[in-house]
Amino acid sequence: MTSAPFSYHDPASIPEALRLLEKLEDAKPLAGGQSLVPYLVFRMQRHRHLIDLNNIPELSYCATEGGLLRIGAMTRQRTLLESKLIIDVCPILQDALHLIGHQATRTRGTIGGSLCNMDPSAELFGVAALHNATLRVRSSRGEREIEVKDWAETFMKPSMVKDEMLCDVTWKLWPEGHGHAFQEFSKRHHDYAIVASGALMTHDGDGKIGQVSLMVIGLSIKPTRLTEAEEMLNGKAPTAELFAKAAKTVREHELFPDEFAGQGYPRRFVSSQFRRHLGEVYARRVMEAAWQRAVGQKTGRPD
Amino acid sequence: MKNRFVGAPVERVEDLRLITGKGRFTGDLRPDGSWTAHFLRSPYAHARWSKLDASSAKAMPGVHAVFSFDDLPAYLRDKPFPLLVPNPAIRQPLTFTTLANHEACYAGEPVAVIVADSRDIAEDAAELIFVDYEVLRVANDCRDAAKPDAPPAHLSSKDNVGAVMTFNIGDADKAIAEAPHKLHDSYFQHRGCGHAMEGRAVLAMHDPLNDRLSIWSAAQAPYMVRTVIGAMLRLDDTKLRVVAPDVGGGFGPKGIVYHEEVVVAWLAMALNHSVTWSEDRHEQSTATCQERDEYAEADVAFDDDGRVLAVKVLVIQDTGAYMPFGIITEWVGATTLPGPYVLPNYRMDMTIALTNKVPCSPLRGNGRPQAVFVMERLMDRIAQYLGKDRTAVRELNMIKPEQMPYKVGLTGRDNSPVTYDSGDYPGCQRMAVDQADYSTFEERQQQARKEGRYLGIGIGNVVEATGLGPHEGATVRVLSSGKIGVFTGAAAQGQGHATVLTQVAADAFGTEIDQIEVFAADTALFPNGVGTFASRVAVNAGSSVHNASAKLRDLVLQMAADQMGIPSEEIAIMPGKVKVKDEALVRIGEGKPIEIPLSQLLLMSNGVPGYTASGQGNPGLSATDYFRPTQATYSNATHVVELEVDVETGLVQLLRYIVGHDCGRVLNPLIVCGQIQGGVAHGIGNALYEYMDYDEHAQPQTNTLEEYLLPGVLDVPKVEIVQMESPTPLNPLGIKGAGESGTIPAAAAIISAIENALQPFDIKISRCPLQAEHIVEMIARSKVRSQEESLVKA
Amino acid sequence: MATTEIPLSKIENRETTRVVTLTVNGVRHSVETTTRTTLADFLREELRLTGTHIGCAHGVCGACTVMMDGQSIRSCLMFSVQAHGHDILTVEGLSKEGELSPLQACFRAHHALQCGYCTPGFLITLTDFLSHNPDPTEEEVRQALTGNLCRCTGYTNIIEAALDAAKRMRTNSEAAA
Repeated sequence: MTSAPFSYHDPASIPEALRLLEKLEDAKPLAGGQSLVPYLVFRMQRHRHLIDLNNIPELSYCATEGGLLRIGAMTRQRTLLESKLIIDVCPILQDALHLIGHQATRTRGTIGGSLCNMDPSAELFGVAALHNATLRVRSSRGEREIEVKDWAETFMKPSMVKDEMLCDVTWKLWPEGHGHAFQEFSKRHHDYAIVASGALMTHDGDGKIGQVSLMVIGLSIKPTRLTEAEEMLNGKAPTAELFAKAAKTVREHELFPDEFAGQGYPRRFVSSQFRRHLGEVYARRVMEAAWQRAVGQKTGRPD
Repeated sequence: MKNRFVGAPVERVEDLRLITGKGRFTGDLRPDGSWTAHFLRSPYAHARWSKLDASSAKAMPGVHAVFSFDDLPAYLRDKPFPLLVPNPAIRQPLTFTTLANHEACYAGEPVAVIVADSRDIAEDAAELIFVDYEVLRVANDCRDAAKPDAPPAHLSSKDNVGAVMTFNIGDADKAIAEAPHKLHDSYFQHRGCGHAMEGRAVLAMHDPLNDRLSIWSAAQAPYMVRTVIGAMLRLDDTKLRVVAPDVGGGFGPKGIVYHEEVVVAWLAMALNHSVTWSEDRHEQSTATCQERDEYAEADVAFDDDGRVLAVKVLVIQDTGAYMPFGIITEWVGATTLPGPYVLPNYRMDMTIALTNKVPCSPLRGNGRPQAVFVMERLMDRIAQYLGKDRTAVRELNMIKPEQMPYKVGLTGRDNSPVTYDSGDYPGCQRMAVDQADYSTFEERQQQARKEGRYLGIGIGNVVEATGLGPHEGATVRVLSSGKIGVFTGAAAQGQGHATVLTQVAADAFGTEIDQIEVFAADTALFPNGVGTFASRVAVNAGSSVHNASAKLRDLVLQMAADQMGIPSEEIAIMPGKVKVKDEALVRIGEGKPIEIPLSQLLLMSNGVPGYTASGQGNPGLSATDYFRPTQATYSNATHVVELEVDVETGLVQLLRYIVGHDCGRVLNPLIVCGQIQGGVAHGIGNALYEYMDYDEHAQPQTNTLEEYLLPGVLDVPKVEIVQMESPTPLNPLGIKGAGESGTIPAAAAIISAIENALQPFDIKISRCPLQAEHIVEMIARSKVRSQEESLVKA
Repeated sequence: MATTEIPLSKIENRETTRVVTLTVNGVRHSVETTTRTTLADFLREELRLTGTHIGCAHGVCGACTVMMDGQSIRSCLMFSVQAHGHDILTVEGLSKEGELSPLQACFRAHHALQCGYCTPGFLITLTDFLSHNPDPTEEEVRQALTGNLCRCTGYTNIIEAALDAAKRMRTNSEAAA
């Protein structure tokens, strides 16, 4: 298993990278490589040119400004996992990162690479969807912002044109002390997720849910925001029955289009029925866990 | 001889080089300028072709040669590989051809070989080879394949029946007809792949000056490799040397001789250049042997107490497209089924079906896990039917220690009657059950159910034939350095054989661990070995090393006695020398040495001028022994596992895992416990995770480690091992094998525990692997059933 | 490594080889290699450091794990050209002047290896982990090892070796302080 030959380019700046992207035919950006390199060595993909983004420090940052969290596309998963800032302001990102890959893959893997690879079970895509994130892409022609709900063009393909590159992702932070939970199902401990769910919730101080954001990944080509469930929960006093009822709305959401259902691990080996069932189970569990956190009870780290 | 090392947790002699990155695995051995071979493999499960055009590939810079079947010399084309383990039950003794002859019978079968400067260039070239494949119908599921009108796996075959076998004790049909109680059950099992961390690899070099072909292979049985390469390339064994260097895990599949070994050996000769090949992980799924599907229909008859009167089983087993190891796996399974239980009537009818999938070979456990699964599930069924405790029903049926040696009534794979030599099965089960706090489990289970949690406990027993023949040998001799060399055929893939044999030699000869050097798995250094499989090395190599070391001790002492002029009882062996014992110092005559270095003693024994040669024995301080076991020796184990099932997700969490184990005398407790812990990990994989999937066209689907799931660190609990020792009378050390009893009953015990956990849902489980989705489905169906039942009642 | 502006006409040529200069186990190397050569193959084939093993070539098994600039990475998922200018540590670099590291010594003492093929990956992963977590719980050690597969040992002894090594290293650093 070896890659087909390619021409290798290692630009040192964003403008240089963009110029290469614009001018070269069949050029693929190389971020962390944890997803791309396996495709290359299996020869499932081949490209005439690889543009290595790892020597452009300007693409790697993680900062807050005016209640927004902005993360550069080449920021390493390991950096985010070890970041005191993230633990403070966006703990659900921490929850998700613990479940992504392993120590060695997080050293190189990037948030941008994950968002551009768009594996349907990509946890980071799910976290971005939970937060209504905005993704900023650039080309030699300029830059534009894409809402996370519009990010997916089709199965494992983001809606960027050939000469565009993802630069960063931004989202609004939730208030301090908000409840959060992220849990996933995999067949074997700590494997690729088949289905995962995330919840963000605030407590209005009066025993009721203030704000809530819910999503499930693994049902379709992009994260599924459970908007009906959110409406059901907004401003209500939570009970087990309410959470169960809200979780049931998972059943109303579309599953993979048939043409993609058979592609790629892990979808081929898990029926869509089971994925839907898991979506409901995990949606309910993260609602319960997020609420407990929101009202200040410890739940322990979900696995 | 008092034992200082045998039985002690001696640190392994292999470890230093392995922890410092100085291991010598086959893929690490790369002579400067060697070429790399890469195989073009059939992408289809069944296809034929007339044209193969490699002209573009051959023209690529960096490519030295491309060969397909038609390019091979006649002596490689005119015969398939020899069948190493023939048996009259085999109806279609299909073995590999060197390369596929215009018909491929499994996806992954080698069609052509490319030799290039490096693997990446060879893969580029492979993409340029054109083959006009015509896709043919496939024999897929083995039950369908076994039918008379099934598409043939091989065009030249009239059907897919590879072998039919019957095993019989007493009269099962009569006993079932007359029995007070009987049950029927159906089982499906799938074992999966070996997936050793190191793939297969071969390096071949031809030495024209010595006219010898040297081959290094990640093989379990270098002697079998020598036999097959010698037969195919028509090379006498003086012209052929096969070495298994450090091997990164074997587990069975590396015990078969493969196309790649013969082809790479031939390439080295034909091209007069060293050639190397390493398997990648994709090839491990599609081109390395594995164990796969077995379907069993079982009937069990029993009395009111739960005593088993008869077991009758009809089995269809998938052997893949060829039968490289004959029917050993199936034979072993059939003769293992009775287990530790008295079984007065038994009939097993097995059909072994050829399919268009990767051929099957033994895989850790080798057919025994499947047999144990059937018997242990039946035991659970009997207990459930009668409302009795599962351990009590088992103990009632067990062979008692006073009944040893116990003739089971079957003929083993080694052609000798299956006779359990020693073991205390009830005692071992009681020991494991006590360790597991089984008696208080029901309390724990009830308490958990109140909290909405589902705990279960399960049990599985195994009696395992180990130490199989035909033989293993060792030569133990004094080296010119004065150290003691142990030369043996016993190959190792992680079991620590060198350490164990060092311990045995050190004790039997009477010296320190660091005075022993083991030379193994090299056909040039020890010509008459066999290899490693079936948990046989400790017994056979251990016994022969023991015997040879003891003989050498006598020779050395006798020679010393001659030189010193005192009786040998008054001489001690010390590291590197022989020395008069203190008490006898005074009796040493004028001019006689009080101590002699072993290196010097060796020279004396070879007749160096100036020294009087001893009249005893042959020149050279050397002793050889072949241990030929008269029969297998039987180790046994009981597994008890406690687990929790998440009924919403189907996920299983193993809480406690206990193994009660008896492998006779324990040579090295560190190593034996390591084998058990590792074996259990594999068994957990078989129970919950490992499944080699094929689609409706018999195309392999789970070809990466993300799809084929091996147990990871969070999936394997620490195994609590409790041991007893029933030394066997069958070999001088009293030892039995220990390599597979960690795996064999694991799936049975885990499935038994899951079923126990899901008792409130009244679910019967008859398959493994059992995945989360199956569990959730079964629970859902059971809820529907109970709703329907309550509707009917209403 | 900065490239100056290269005319587009030159970029179109297939730039498929590079000289890679990097430090491995404290020794500087400068070798020309093809750009598609992975770091794992480069270490094994070009530098003849065969202690790092390739188990799957797609980043799952962890046998190929090495340290780059003090952090563990999958050497099969990087092209060697990407390591240009960086600092690599492999299993061969763990023992200093012939003396085993405490982790290596504990692996032997606890029978934490059988065939040894996966062992270099475990040693590097644990070297990274313990350098950042000197007093881990058993659960934390398990979590750190999820990315390393072993088919022989069943993991228990590896965990015990890691915990013992952590203890020994804490004792050593307390003694030194």
